[in-house]
Amino acid sequence: MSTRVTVTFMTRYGVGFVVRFYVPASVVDPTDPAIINVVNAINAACASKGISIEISLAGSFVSTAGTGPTICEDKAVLVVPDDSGEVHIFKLPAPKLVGVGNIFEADGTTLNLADPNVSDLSASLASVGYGRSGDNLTPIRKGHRAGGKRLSY
Amino acid sequence: MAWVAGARRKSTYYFQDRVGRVATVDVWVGGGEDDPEGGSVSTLRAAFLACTDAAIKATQILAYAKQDTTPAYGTDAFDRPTDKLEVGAITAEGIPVTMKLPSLLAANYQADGVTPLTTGAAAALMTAILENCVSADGEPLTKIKRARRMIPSGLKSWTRKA
Repeated sequence: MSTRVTVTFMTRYGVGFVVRFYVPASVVDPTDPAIINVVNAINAACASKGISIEISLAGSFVSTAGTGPTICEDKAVLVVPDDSGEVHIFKLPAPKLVGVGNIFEADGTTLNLADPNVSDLSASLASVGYGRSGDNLTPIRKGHRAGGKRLSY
Repeated sequence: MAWVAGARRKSTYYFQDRVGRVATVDVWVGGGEDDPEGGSVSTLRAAFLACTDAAIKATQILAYAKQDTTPAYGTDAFDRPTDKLEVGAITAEGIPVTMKLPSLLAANYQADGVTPLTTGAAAALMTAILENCVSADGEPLTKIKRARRMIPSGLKSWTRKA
C-alpha cells in the first residue's frame, strides 16, 4: 500500500493546479521529509510553488450490510453542537429502524437519545470528534429521520 | 516560509447498504490520528455501525499542511498553469508510473525546449522522485524512463510561449 499525496501549486497568475504522487505507506504526516523533498525539488526547478499538501491514508475492513429496510438514501439527521455553540449536522445513512437496534422513538421519526447505541455514538463523537473550526464536539442534542422512501414501520 | 500541519484531520467513513448504494460521513478528529483502521477512527466506525444497517468497508484520513506565508512565484517562459512536465517512471516489476508536474523553468530544458537537462535542478528533481515516490501499490520507483514537456495547445512556438 501507499500514501497518496496531493500538492497544490500556485502560479503568479493566481491559478493553481494539483500534482498527485504516492509515497510509502509509512508516511503519515504531510510534512514528512519524503514529501517535502519532492515538493522542494519541484519548487527549485519550476516557476510555480507548492502552497498546500494533503495526504490520504486509506483503511479497509470486512463488513456486511444488514438486512433492515433502510438504504443509504434514508438518513438519521444528527444535530451536534461544538464547544463554541456552532451546530454541526451529521447525516447517518441507513439508520436502524426496526427490531433490535432501532434508534428512533415510537413515532419512527425522532431520534431516541436514550437508546444505548445512540448514547454510545453521542459519547464517541464528543470524546474524539471535532467541528469544522476545530472545537470539540459535544453530545448529540437531537435528531430525526429524513430522506429516502417513507417506510410504514 | 515553513510548512505548518493542520491541527485536525478529517476522517471519512464509506457506508454501503444492502443494495450497494454508497454514502459518506466526515468527522474531524485529532491531528495525531494516523491510523485509518484504529484509534479514533475505529471508535467512531464501531459507534456508527451500531446505529446503521449499512456496512463500513473503507475509511480514510485526510491530513493537511500549508505554507505559513505566500511564496514568491517565479517568472519564466514556461510559468503558465498549462505548462506541464510529464515524467514516466517504472518500478522493479516494470509497472509504469506517470506523474504530471509543473513545467520546469526554460533554463532546465535542452535546446529542443521539451527534454529536461540531465544536470542541475532538473536532475535533482528526478533524483527526488526516485528516492521518495512509489507506485500506487507501494512499489519503489527504480528508473525514470522518460520526461518531456507537454506543449499547451495554441502555442505559436514550441520552445517559447506565444
